[in-house]
Amino acid sequence: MPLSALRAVFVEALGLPPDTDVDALTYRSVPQWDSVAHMALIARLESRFDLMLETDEVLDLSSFARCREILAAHGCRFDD
Amino acid sequence: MQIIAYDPAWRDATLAFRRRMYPCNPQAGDEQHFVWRQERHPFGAGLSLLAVQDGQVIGHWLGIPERIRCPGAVRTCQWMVDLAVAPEHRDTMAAMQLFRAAGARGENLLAIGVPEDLLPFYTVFRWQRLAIADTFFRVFQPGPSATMAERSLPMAPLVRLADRLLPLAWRARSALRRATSVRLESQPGQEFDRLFDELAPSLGRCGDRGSAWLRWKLFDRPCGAHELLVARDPAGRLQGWIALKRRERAGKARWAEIVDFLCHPDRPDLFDELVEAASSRALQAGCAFVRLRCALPEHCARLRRPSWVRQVRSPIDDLFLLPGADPGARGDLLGHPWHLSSGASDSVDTGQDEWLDASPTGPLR
Repeated sequence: MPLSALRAVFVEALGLPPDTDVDALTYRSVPQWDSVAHMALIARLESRFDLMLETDEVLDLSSFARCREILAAHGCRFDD
Repeated sequence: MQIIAYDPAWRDATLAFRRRMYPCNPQAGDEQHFVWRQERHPFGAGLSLLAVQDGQVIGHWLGIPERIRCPGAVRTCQWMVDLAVAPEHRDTMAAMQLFRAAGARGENLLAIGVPEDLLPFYTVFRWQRLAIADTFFRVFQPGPSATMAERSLPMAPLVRLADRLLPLAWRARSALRRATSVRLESQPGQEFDRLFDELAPSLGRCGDRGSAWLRWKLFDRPCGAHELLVARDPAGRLQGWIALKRRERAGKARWAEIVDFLCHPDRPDLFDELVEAASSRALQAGCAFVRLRCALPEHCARLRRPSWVRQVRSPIDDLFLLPGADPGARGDLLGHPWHLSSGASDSVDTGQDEWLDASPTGPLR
């Protein structure tokens, strides 16, 4: 799956400008990524990639890079 | 940061935190109220979790115990009534950790009054959503009601006139329909337990509303104006009851809220009498409107225009439920119908949410 699909989910869920450097995002690095938006992001990820994250993973998903790793553990691999 | 179970040793720190989080609600940080709600509930202690850091309380998840009578079973649950995180820690994951810790306890959790923007929390933590109730309003004075809703009504002079004339018309109507079998009472005894046992099978899923709960909720509380109106037949036998509380938002409106009620769904005449009696009490107290959250179809069918305005306030009125580890709880609790009149009656609200979709709880971000 193209990495752009994962970037698009972040942009949509967090309400970010399209030109945001999504790959460098970490939790709270932008004002839009607060705890409520975090939950919206998780819900969007689960829906878009048809998976269910464990609660530990929900809390651990603190950056775009970490998200990529967690989703890889669920069989979702993204190509640059 | 750690999530720990509340212990009375943390009472002072917890109350100080709550006073800071809920400055508009003196009850939230009042020791007597806290002890009454937390330690004197007839169904046991509420689930209370603290987020603490460096010896300070920075977050609080508070539940109130409930017993839901389901067909063939009684399920113990916790109403989630408060979730607050200190503003300077809202850029952490404290709220999520409190949510997770509450769910991990394996208890059946219930919530009502969930605002739209917090829905993802419930979705992600696998709460189930049941649209089982709506809110109904009986408006005596449109002006103060509109002020509460932060709406402006056209033709202000006409509204002011209506504010003066409508209560008179309602009082005349109330006098004509005076429910002679309904009286104020303040000593709910064992006959209330018998009535609940008798009616519960016809109510689907319903919180235990026996005498112990009534005494605790209405009469043992250290503050708040609650009233119990009781219907009896000519022989004095208990037929049903309705509980009312008055609320006021300074400079906006005074209103009445039906806290709960109990009567057989096949007795529409009795239900009508009870709500008329409650409305009459509200009128006497100068309330601008009465609010009633109602779920059973038989009761909702009686709340029709022009007397009642139905307001669909999804998700505010929806029930959110996280079944616990208790085998069978999911099947018992996720069914229909429910008899649910008010599960969030002690909430801190903005006032606006009495009419609109708005957060009835403290800010969470």
